[in-house]
Amino acid sequence: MSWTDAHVRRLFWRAGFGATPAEVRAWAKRGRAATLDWVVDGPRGGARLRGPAPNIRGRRLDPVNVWGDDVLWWIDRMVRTTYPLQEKLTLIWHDHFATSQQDTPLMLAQNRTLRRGALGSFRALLGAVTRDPAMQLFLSLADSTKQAPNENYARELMELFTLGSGYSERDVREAARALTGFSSRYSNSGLVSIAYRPDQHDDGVKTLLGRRGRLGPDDVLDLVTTQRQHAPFLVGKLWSYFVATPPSAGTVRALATIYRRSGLQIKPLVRAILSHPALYANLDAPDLVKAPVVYVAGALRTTGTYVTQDYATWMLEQMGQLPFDPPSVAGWDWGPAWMSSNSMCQRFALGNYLVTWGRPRVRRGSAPATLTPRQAFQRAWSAVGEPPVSGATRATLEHLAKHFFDDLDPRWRGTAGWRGEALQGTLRHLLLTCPDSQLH
Amino acid sequence: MVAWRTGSLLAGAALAAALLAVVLAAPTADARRRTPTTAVGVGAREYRFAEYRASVPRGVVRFDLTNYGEDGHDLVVETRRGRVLGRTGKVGSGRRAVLQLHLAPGTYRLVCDLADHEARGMHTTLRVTR
Amino acid sequence: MPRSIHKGCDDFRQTSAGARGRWLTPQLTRRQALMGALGGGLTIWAQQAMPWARVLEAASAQAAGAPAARVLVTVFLPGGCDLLDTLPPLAAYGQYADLRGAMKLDAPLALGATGLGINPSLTEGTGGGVKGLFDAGKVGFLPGIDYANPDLSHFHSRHFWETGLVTEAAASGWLGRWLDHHGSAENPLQGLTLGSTLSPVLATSSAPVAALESPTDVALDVWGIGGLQERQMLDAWAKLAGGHVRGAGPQSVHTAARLAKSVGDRLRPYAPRQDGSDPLAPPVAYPDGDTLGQRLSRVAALVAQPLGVRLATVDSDSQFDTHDDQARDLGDGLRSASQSLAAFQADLEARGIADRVLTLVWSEFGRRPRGNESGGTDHGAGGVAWVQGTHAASGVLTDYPSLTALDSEDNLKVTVDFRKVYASLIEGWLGTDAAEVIPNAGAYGRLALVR
Repeated sequence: MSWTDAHVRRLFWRAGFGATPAEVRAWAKRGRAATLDWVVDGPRGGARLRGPAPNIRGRRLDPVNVWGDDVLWWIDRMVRTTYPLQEKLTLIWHDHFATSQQDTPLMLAQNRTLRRGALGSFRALLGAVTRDPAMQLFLSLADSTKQAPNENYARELMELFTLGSGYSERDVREAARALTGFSSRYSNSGLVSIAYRPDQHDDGVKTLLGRRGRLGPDDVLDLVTTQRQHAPFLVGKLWSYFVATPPSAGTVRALATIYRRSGLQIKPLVRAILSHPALYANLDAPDLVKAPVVYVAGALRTTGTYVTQDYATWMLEQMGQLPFDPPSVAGWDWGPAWMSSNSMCQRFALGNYLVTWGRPRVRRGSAPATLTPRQAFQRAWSAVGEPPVSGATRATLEHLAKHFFDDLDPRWRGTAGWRGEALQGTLRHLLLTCPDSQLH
Repeated sequence: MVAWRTGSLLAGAALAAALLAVVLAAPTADARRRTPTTAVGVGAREYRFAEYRASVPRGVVRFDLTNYGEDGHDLVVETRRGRVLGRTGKVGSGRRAVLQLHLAPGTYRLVCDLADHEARGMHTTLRVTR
Repeated sequence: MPRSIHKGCDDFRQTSAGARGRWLTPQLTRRQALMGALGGGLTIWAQQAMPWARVLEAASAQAAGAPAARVLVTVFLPGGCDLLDTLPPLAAYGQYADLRGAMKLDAPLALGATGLGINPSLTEGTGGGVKGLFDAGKVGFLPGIDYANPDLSHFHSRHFWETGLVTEAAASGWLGRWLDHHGSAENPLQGLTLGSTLSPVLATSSAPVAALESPTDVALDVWGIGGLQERQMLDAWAKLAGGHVRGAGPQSVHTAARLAKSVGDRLRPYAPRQDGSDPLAPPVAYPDGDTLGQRLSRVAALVAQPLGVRLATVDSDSQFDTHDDQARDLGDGLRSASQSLAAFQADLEARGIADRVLTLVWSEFGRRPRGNESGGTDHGAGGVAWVQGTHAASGVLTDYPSLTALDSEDNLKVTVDFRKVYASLIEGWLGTDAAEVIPNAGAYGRLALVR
């Protein structure tokens, strides 16, 4: 496979939140293998946040206490991290193990758990999520006792988290029994702890997925992850976040084999997906709709704009993807489902903010009205991070530039800098929000 | 002639206003400028509060209340002896409210004073330090 | 707006539609997302692009062709509504109290001379709520409704009820199939979901249908330029969104972008006017801030216009998946339903169209007779549904399941298959052959649901 600017951009958008022009140039030169290694393994020494910490009108973020700051805190991580794949996977696991309606400190703790386990062993991540307080409260696993076990977590564990199918109602009930024992303690100020108490656990014999014994929570997790259908299920699910078209049966088999042979490690599977030719198909016609979080964080990151305003929170809510608030345990609907007339209007509206206050804002005196249409386009295109756009898009925008001064008397064109600046704003807005920029 | 792309915050403000009911208490403009504001997140559900920090430094305290419950709740801030210093209105299920008060060092009570919610457990304390 | 709290095992609203997208027959691939006065986002599913002028012509034509055509509305209570606490069996109260313990309804109101009681929340609303409608002979209850050996997953059960088929395969909705046989080839407003995505009940193979979001007035907003330059910018936007693209993603983007611009001039008759008045405003009061009520008021308003609406689906915003605190959750959900449905019926009557409209209220399964330790119940069988309208058969139309003779999973035995109810509605209300929609319809027998 050749390795061009277009390959770099495709990989960086799918595995993260886009590439700046400098990144594109640097990694195109270094070749496919080096780029993949850097994207997948991340920088040596772990992820760092590069650039100024977020500052909203002079105040620091308080993600625990101020509503909306948790979202801004996470978007900021996506914008400034040196290991974007880790943030992308954290977002993916947040959708896969969707949890909602829980107190912010618990959601932030879950977020850290997801980040820590994002690229390691799936079984370990599953164990951490099963014990995560926000998840336990959300799916009523906390205080599910031997007297009357609650089936919620057992059902979603199998249906949504690990298997999809191939289990019976009886399996759900038996798994619920085996998962009993977690007990919560509260004070006046909220949750103190959730602990496993053997005396609350149903220690009788259960029969689950063909195995019989005095099964406990870890036995359930071991069983579901060693079922035959787990690997293809997880492979198909992860693939769908990175590639728009479903994998062929052969691809599923091959990826499932990689996943199993690695001992159910996430990183080798993700590396295989990010190396797959399907990810690089149709480089000039991207077909995966950007999720709202990817669109917003990507726009900030690729234009070099930092989090200095709080509009991202309510805009993401309007676009249908407010982090820490998925609509249900099944997460969000990805792909074409992001596109509704309302969400598109919001995506268009983001352009106003970036062009007015972000890095792409037009500096006074910077754009004379006498630039040629091509020069005007180039200047705008550079200012918004050189997004990949089609020839048709470029032609349409140059046409706009050409006629933007039609109502002005040509004698005054030389002093119409204000109009030249308005044109730059318009071009930048369209480049950031046009259909080409909604896909990756 | 519109030369400059000035933004209007109305879309954002309108939406934010629809979601927040802001109650500002009595500090003078000078006092507000000098003293820092510390936020305390509070989650309400049936029938308990979750307080996201147990103590704050003196000054302006901003209570950020989210109702994760299904019933309506409110947040009332009282001195230890029960004198009401400020309150949010009734906050519906899934909605939020903000209450800002200037608090001196001491211990304060946070309660929901709807129906029998306080008796059922919706009360907690907040320490304000020097 | 009240917001339902999902206690976990939910898959409602758009999430369920998307996650189960693999089950929908993807025959209709072109979608138009339109914005305008009919309440923000109107999304159309059709086999080819339909310019607005054509939509409205087709709608008027269909309406003109059959001005008194009957309308069927379905209202979904998501999560599995508990029969025992909705219609507590007064005649077997002792057994009921024993099964439900502390969470039982104390001294429930009697439902006429039926031997059943009714949840007090169903008395709330105009004219005594759903109970008031029952007393006026406008409600027919269907206890024990489900299908044999029910699958207790929300995803699966809901899919079966939506398609009218007990199969995991992709399929169109039962009412979608009806439209494929008896609908118009041109009018997407004939089958309307009041919500942001199309209900799978209305998924069709060929007939056009539409989904309408709740009203939000959002337009393509541009800062800092106006007049000619703004028009030029939006014209450029329309051009950028034009052209032919391949793939579901690119098509969805281009469609949403293209039509996010067009604020249907032809919809002006239905748009809120300059003086602030709303031509679609309801003549009666609906419960404040209740999404179900808002959606039903839109249904009534649209059915009353000459738009050829034949079928409408609405989801309740409450949650009926009452694993914990059933007393409160179910009470809240039924209260919203009762207030909204009572207002809806009053609205239809005030508009003079009540004789044309029949409503089916349904849920995807019932719940276990014995309560759990969290003051709730887990998924079970034998749920509750009802028909409502001036022409609805009234009373308790099916056998109430026995509380002592339970099935092998200790669940209530199913006394009526939902396909029997569907077949009865298709023949009794819509007046067509049920076998076109429900395979092997003859095997289910019929109920008299219409009078």
